Amino acid sequence: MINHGNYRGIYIHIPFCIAKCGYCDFYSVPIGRSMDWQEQYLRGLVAEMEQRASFYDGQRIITIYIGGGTPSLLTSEQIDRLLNKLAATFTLSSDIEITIEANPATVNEKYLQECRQAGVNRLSLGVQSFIDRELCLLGRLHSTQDSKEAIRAARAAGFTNLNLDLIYGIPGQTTDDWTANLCQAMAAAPEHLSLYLLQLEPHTPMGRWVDEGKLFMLEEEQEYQLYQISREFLSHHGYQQYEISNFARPGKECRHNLHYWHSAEYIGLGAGAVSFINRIRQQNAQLDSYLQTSDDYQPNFWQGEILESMSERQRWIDAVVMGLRTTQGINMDDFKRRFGVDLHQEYDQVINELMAGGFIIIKDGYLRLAPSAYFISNQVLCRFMA
Amino acid sequence: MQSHIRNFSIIAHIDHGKSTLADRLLQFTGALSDREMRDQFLDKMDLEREKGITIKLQPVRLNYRAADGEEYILNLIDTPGHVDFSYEVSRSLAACEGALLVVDASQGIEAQTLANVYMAMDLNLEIVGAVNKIDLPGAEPDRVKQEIEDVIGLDQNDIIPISAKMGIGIEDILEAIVKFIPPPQGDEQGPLQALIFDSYFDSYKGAISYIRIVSGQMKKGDIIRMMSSGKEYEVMELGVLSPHMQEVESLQAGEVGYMAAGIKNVSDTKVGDTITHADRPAAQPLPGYKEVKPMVYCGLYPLENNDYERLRDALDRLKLNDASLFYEPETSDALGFGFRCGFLGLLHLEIIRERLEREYDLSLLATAPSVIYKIVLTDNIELYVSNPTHWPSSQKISQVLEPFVKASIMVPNEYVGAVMELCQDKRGIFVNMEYLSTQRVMITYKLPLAEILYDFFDALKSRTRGYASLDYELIGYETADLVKLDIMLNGEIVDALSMIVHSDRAYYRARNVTDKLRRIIPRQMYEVAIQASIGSKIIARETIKAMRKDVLAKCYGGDITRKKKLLEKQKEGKKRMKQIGRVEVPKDAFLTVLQVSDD
Repeated sequence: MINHGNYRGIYIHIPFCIAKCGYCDFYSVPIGRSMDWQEQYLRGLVAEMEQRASFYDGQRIITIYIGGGTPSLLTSEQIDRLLNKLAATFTLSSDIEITIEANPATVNEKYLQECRQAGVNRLSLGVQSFIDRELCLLGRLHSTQDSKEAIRAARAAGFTNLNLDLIYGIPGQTTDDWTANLCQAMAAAPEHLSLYLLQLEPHTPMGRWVDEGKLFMLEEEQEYQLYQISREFLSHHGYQQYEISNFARPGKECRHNLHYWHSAEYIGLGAGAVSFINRIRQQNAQLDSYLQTSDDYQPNFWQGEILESMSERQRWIDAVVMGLRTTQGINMDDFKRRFGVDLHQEYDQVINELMAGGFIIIKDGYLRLAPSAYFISNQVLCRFMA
Repeated sequence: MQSHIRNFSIIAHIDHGKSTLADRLLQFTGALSDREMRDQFLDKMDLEREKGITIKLQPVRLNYRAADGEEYILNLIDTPGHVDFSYEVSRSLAACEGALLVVDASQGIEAQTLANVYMAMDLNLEIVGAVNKIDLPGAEPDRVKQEIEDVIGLDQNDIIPISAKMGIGIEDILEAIVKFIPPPQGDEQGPLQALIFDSYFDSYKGAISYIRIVSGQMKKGDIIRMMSSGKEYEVMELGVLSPHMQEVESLQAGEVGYMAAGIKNVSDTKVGDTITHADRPAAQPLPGYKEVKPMVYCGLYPLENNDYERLRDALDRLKLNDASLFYEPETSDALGFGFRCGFLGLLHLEIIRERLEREYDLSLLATAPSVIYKIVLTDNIELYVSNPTHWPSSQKISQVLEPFVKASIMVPNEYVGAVMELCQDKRGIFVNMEYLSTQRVMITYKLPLAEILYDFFDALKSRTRGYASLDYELIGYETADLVKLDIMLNGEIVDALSMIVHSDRAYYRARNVTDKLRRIIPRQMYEVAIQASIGSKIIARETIKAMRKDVLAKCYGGDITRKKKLLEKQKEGKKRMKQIGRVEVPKDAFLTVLQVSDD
């Protein structure tokens, strides 16, 4: 098994979408069908990589994730160039996982084939739902038909590591609706599934509708039921839950995700991307620093705000709250080796209380959430905060 | 000398304009320049000005050249107008020869005013009457004068129409004080007798006493003796308040002023005590005051456990200036370390609590106010209980008695029905009804003090559109059918929520409290059972279902900082909860539950 602490991950943010979805809270800019920005943005990414090369310590990269926004708005040739530049700048592990996110409406078999040839070996499709009515409410541009075609194309192009993103808890969604979604997903036999509860931020369009009483979220009880249905259904179909919202065929867990949950270090490239190195989380500058018309990039043009600069204690607390998101939990011996901290000692009372309540389990040297606590995990996680 | 001194108090109901009149007297006699003047000058505490009430009396000396061409010294001793503080009224009256009765020209006499006038008459004070606010559209000075004549017996022709706000009739008042209120007649050559009518603590000078010299004289440097304790001190500073402190060399019989004698402890300058000279003591002390006994008790707990010491210090300080405040340490399973505190009434309680929070920056939690119950046990031992936690089990109780008051309510006759209905509702026993005039009625009821303490006054005001006024006095204990109602969370009694209720009301209160708790306590990781019980019998139950969802569905690289902040905030939120057993109860839940608003 990989010891993520010894490696780095790279995240590349492509902050463009054709249009913004009603629930989306990520940093992305709607650009319609215009294709003018891509070369400009790529030049920025290249310039950032060149500048970063001087302080790169050579630690091996085991995962690259191209996310967004909508990365599939880049051409396959552009992706190829991007990956070549990455390989020239950083030391990539030979068995590296390279994921690209795609909107089902933006891909075809040829494109996906070329992506694979460029080195992409994992595809994450933002299917979200197999019911058109739900897609419509979410403000997605693609249809169920697009998703099915994208899945077919992915398989035809030779992708053997496919993820589907699905959203549950959509207003009006019944348990039947959700089960139908899961069944449709099974038809694609994806290696990996991310199931996300719809959680709206107040400043998103859908969030506002809810505030204004124009849209009603499901009851807590219903959301809980949908979650339980998912867990049982997927377990029955041979998927293992490895995190609160993530399921995979054995061995097909997303390495990039695990990298985050192991509280390992990563480099974020591109506008608004976040890096985590040496106890500092720092966000890159916003888009205007990237879309420069000349190639005269100032030193550190990509650098933005420091989000957090952690003490040693905060650093290992970070590892606790991230690690507990995984179903495997935290290997307490590893933890002690890595941070010099005995969790038993540090959290004596918290652990005892939570164990007595049946919310956490200690088994085989691992500290983990009890499955019954997954959906109320904040109650547990916040107890471990500073 | 004494022939040119007049010592007087003002008796008035809240809002009848007493503090404004005091302001005008200060201005008219030139005691304060317009620059120094601010509203309610003698009300020193912010709280007093905010609530528009007087809590603490503060004497002031006015110099007045009367129409007869002579200079007079008028000592005004302001009094509080709320029933909780009638004790303080008696203190100021005892230092005077006369009282100025101020009645609102549209409201008429109020019950509390009447009680204070009777108190003044008992002390043989001369009463000068005035009707205030004659400038207002609804004023009926003639009707109110007639009422004063009917009820108190003052000649209505002697009653002075004034408007303190507009400054009308101020001179007439001053003249009447000089003319009608007798000068003090103490023996100037006799042994010293000085009455302490108030004292407070000053961090530089120690205890400062407000005194009235009844006979003899006091000089700076005198060796004095407190007649109750025999303790002796040297007078360091003497002075008058005009209204600012102004040092003098001596105070003569008849005068009012302040004294500092390097006394470290305010309890050594007991209000009501007599000061005399060590070398030439008076034979007898002056008649003192009755010790005030608290009527209402509640527990005060700091929200932050480590504020306990600060709370104790703050109570110590307040106690220095407030002899009627009582407190002793107590412990609650639910709330930790705190104090059991006794108060004169609910307003007193509220004021102390607000002062603790405001002046000492404490966050406090108060348990339900309680009166002192008398319990006769089966073995005939008598117990006094003011904390429901100490209530004996029902098998051991042979009889429960609760304090009753005689409540006098004055009200325009159209509200008689509403008032009687309210009194019946509050377990009142009708005593008497008397027409003071064709429109005004005085209704007398016997009522349990506990009922008066809660929302009685507010209910009375709202049912009579503010026209009713209330006075009450304790008349002793009577048997009552009372039970202790316990509240349990997941089977554990929350001692701070226990209350004593009449058995007829037990079910209603039980439902009311459990329902409130159900709404206040957030869903928890566990199901929470809220039960109300009398003894071992459960009489109400509510359930809070276990929380189902509290999850961050997504947590990836770019988002981790923000998500951790959410968790940190959530952890902070838990600090505002009180852990009772396994149940997290918001700290303000106690307050909300104890508010008896919708009874």
